[in-house]
Amino acid sequence: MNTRLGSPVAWCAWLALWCVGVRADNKFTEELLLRPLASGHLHSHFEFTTTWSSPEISKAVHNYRDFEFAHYDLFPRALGEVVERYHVRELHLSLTQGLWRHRKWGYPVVDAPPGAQLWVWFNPTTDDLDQTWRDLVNALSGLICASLNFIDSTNTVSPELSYRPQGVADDWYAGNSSYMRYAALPRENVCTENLTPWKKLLPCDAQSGLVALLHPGPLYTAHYHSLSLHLRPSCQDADCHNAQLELVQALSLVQLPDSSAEGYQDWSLHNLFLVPLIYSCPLADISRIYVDITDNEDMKKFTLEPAPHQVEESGSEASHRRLAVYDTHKALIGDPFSIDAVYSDHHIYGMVSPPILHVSRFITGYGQEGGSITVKFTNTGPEPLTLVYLEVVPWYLRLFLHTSHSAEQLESMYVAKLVTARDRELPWLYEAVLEVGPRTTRELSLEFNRALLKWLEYPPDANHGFYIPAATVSTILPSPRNVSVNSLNESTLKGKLLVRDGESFVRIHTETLLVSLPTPDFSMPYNVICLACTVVALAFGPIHNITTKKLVLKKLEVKESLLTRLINKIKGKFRRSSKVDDGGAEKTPAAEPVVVEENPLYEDREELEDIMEEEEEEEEEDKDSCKPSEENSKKDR
Amino acid sequence: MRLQELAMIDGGYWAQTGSLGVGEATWRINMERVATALRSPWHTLGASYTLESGAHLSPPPPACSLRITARVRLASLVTSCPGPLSVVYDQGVSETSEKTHTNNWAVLVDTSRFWFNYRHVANVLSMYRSVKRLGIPDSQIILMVADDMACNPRNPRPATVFNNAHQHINVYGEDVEVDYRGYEVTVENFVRLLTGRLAPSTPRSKRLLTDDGSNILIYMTGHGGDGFLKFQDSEEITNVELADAFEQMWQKKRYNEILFIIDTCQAASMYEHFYSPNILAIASSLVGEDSLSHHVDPAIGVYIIDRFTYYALEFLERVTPDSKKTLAQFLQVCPKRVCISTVGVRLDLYKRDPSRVLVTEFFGSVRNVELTTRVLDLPKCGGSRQVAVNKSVNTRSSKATKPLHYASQLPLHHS
Amino acid sequence: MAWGVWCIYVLGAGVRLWLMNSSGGDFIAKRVEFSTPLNSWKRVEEGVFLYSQGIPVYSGGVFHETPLCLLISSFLIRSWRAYLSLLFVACDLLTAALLAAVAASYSRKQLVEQKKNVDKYSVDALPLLLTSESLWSGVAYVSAVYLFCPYTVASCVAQTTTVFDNLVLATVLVSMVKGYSILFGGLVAVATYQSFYPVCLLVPGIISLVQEKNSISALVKPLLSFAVSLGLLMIMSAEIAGSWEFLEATYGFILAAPDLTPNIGLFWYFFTEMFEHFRLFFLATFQINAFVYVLPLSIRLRRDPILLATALLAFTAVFRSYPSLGNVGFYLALVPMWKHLHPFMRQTFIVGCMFVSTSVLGPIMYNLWIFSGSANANFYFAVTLAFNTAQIFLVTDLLFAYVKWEYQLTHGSKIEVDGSPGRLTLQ
Repeated sequence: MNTRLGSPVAWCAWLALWCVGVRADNKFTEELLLRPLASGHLHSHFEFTTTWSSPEISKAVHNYRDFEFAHYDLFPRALGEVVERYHVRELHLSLTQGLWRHRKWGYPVVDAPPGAQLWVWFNPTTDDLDQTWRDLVNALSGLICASLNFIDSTNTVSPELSYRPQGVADDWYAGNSSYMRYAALPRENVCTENLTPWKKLLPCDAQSGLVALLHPGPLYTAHYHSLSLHLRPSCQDADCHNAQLELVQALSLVQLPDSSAEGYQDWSLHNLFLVPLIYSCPLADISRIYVDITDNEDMKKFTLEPAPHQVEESGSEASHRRLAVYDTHKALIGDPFSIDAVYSDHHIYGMVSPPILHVSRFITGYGQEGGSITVKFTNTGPEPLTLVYLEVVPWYLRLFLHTSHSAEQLESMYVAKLVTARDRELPWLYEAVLEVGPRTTRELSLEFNRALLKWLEYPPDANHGFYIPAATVSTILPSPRNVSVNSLNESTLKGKLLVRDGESFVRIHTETLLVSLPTPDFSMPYNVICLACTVVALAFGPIHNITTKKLVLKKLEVKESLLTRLINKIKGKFRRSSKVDDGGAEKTPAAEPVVVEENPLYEDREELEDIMEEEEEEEEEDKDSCKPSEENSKKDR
Repeated sequence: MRLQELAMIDGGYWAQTGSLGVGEATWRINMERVATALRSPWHTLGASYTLESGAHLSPPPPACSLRITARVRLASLVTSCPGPLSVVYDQGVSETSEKTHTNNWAVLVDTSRFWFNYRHVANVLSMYRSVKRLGIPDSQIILMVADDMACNPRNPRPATVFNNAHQHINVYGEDVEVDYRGYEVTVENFVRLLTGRLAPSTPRSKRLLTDDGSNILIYMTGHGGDGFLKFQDSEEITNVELADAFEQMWQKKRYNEILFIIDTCQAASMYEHFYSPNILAIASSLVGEDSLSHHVDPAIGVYIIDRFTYYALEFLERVTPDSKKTLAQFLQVCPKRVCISTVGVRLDLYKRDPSRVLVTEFFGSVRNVELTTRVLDLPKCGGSRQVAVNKSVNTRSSKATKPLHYASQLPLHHS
Repeated sequence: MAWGVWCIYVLGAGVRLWLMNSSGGDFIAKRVEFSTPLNSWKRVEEGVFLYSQGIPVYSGGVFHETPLCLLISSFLIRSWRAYLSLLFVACDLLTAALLAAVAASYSRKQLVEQKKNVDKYSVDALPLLLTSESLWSGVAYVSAVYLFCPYTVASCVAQTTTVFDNLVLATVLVSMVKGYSILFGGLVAVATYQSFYPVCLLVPGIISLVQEKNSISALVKPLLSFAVSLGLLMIMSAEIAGSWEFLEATYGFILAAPDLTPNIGLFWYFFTEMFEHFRLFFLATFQINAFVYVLPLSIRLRRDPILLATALLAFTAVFRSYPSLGNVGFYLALVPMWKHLHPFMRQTFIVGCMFVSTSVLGPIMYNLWIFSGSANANFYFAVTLAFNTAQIFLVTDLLFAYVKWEYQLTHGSKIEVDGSPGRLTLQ
């Protein structure tokens, strides 16, 4: 976005106009967190926060009305128009590639499942929210260049306990899940084509500031890459009488720094992102880079070059955090800026102590008929945990819940919300509250049967399989150990990273699953129709004959060819002569009456005929025959 | 085809079509259209004709007009015409060769899925890159890519798509916006896009918002056969459907001119049935021929570009936004000795002379640019003198509204 | 004789109980040939679970039994879980006994008929006449077939609700043969309520009752009792289910056949590969096809309503939307009642071979498709088509044999026209 300015005079006038005319307050902050993880990876988390406070926005938030934006400044207009039009109050969209390994890496700043995930809280409105949701996903798919338009009623749910609003909300609103829609597309992939429009939503576009570090190459070679948009109404200040609109654009990465030959895990900004950081964004209020040195007492593990401008420390024990802060406004003076971390020792690949809760989900069973989804919850802490487990299963996997919800299992869990799937209309929504005891692993299984779909419902690569979206586990951990953020009240990343003591809410996602459904033969529609209709016709034909025709005796016309007649004549002559010789009673083939049925049993019949002929002769002899009835009367009881 | 001259020879009138300068391209004359076009004027003039090939040159006579669209030999002409005949071009359009468009659009479609069809994605991204470089903005490019190659797990260099084994150019680039991707690339979506019959909630970036002043470049690549193009290995679009879609566009005045390029096997069959005017069609191979790919990249493991597009891209890389290269030169971009298949061209629906049409009229964009010679001194960015961000006149102190609070994230009532 | 009868019942029960308690029981319960979405016991248990949790049972796509069945099953599962297998076996034994009773009454009726019409018969029809020995052996065969036919045994072991459907059908046949018109109407209502297709049994029943009683009340009474019973059942179901939603999940499901799980019928693969805009047309065609033979056959076979009922049951078993082998076993058990037609049947060998080979190949092809991944759906579909063809051949052969037997009874067995050889043709 190169705005071509006119003469310097015009520029000043324009600036003056800007200062005077605009009442609303737009603030933009850009922050980057670099955190070395215990497993040797490096986690980078970019957060670009744009806040917009104005009396109209505050009033709209108080009254649960739609936003009406005027005079866009730093807030992206493309997103603002979508938000305005579709009654959006809170929006969370993430596009992720890779799996966040909670067991090794703890809990991230923003947790996102593989694929696309979208959940939106709408304002109370008289419009049909399902239609609004459909229109919203279409608009977002155009905005972010992802196939979000595949979100429809077959993968949308409104969970009861999970995904509560993260913005300011009263209890009557937050408790009403009908205002909320959640959907996930596990098959969506994220690539530069999603990064490009995302970058263009930022005030400084892709030109200057921390966003200039986002060169696609290293981003997509990462082990984990997550792009997200979070829009929420937040408190403007501590006493929260006014609300502001906060848009957080976050990008999370987990990379493995190229280690040197000796195994030192040295990393630098330049090696990580391959692009120089030269300019900071002039529109940013705050532009900072944080390096997490919580584990790095007195810079013993690694040293940072250049030295940080500031070191912030807070908390104690589980909530102890220490950040090395670089202010890029001060640091970037026109030359490429890089932070180098030099390790004093090589990295030891050892046991990483797991966090308090980690979850694993997988499919069991074999074949394409059935199977079951099994999820394992591991609580490594000393206190029991109550967690909410949300599972959204597509309709073509028919769940049988009675096998896993026996009376004894239901003692330590209950199903908070269950929406049974309807074929081709609704997915399964399973939300259960479970308790996992201290230092135990608990398993939950959901048995399913796989359905056969109509041939047009299969995607072009049907044998790849179908994805089941990631399940969500929400819980309140007793301490902030391994937790990155645990407060909704902060507006900057730094504020969020310096966690407070006490209970921490954490929401984690499991793996997505891949199931293969039985496939029909896609090349067979005409054949199948013909064959099945043939079988139907096979019944129709004979029944038609039986019901519309009657048995009639017709004269048999024995048509013989000349040759056959000749042969028969010769045979006849031969036979007649042999008959005289043998004296047998063989009948010539030609003279035998041809019987319709060629049933071998009918040989008996012929004998019977002979017997009957004899009987007839006998009958004819004595005229008053009562024999048949006599015989009958004998056989009767 | 265009009729240039009419002559009276051997008691009949001969007409010759203009030369096309394509070289080895063969002509497929749609005889039905010719006969239909001929019938009406001929009946008014009371003439009979036979269709043959062969021509002679002669200066055209003036007076009475006759509409002819093919090479014909007029057997006899009984006319009430006082003087010799003159020629009127098809559909009464003017003969001007100046550009008549006001905006440019591009629709670039890759219809193949799966990793081994990497080259089709590279094809379409090469075109995308050229078209963008020459000035068409993303908002006026509809890019349809059926599968993700750049971030495919099998790609050894993620976020890149190369069209050259020496990896000269990353055609995927850093600034790419794919409008239809993955399973969205279907025949139905493509035809709806062209004809404009989209659902009301379709976003702007997925709509072809052309008008009657738009020049559209339509580039399609994938696997094709005689009369069809395969979409994602599960459905097909036939040449009749495509022709009808273009006719719908014409009727709804959705284009000024279309340059239709198709790089598949037996590609020429796809433009056989076109019957709408102002379409120039280029196919990488004729019916019965296969389009071949150019070379394989052993590091990636698949063929990475097709021949026609490779040479087309080579040509386009040398085109700049103010270049004077013509379409006729573009039509010569892949002669048989490099392309192995014969490039097919259909010019009969296109009234202008390709040697007078600039390549940038389709690949570039109409831009209203004002040139200035004044030198501007811009302040240095990122320095001590920052752009003054609007420090606002703060909001009035709010009335006593009740304080807001955040909702509880896990509202469990302990059972 | 009685000792033999008791023997086969005990043996039948023993086989079923043994199989139920072995590992084969679980395996058979999962086979799609026996358990369809309509009769699978697992789905009944799922429905009962959802009902107990207060979740609307009929808004989903899993449970398709009627509300009364839901109520009864929830009682059975909660209180009688230990005795469930015994219940299924007992129902099967009762069905066998009822079918034997049907055969006995039918035989008696046929003999009486025969005596009445003896003068209509031709002179040389003597060997074709029914004898009480042959009819009594027929009765024994009926119950033996039902008790030992692998189809019915496996259907009972799989604990499908077809066992209960068969029981009700057997009672329908008993009431039809014995002439209890009101009971007949009520029982047909129950059978229709459970699986919809037995409504076609109204026609043979009414024919039989009218022929017996020879009054118009024999026509009105069963119809009236059918209508009233069905209405009562529907109202009770609406009360139990809370709304009329259950109609779509039960009868709507049977008629629209949305679940394309493989089974031995013709619907599943046909509608998997169907083009969307023809779906409704073919659905209507196939459903009408299941009922289209009622009228013509009832006109043709009006003299033998039980044969008509058997033929209709057979066609229903082939052409219904979710057939199972339990339905097949039921009408196969009735076939021995017409032992006397066996000499006239021409295709017994072919039909027998087809039955055996398709019954063996079917599960193999299914396994290859679903578990091994080496075959595809076409193999299994072809085998089910062959199986259905075999069934159709069996029934049409039987009907042809009946027609010929009837003819030869009245016209004699000599196939001659004026002394020269002739032949019988359908014209």
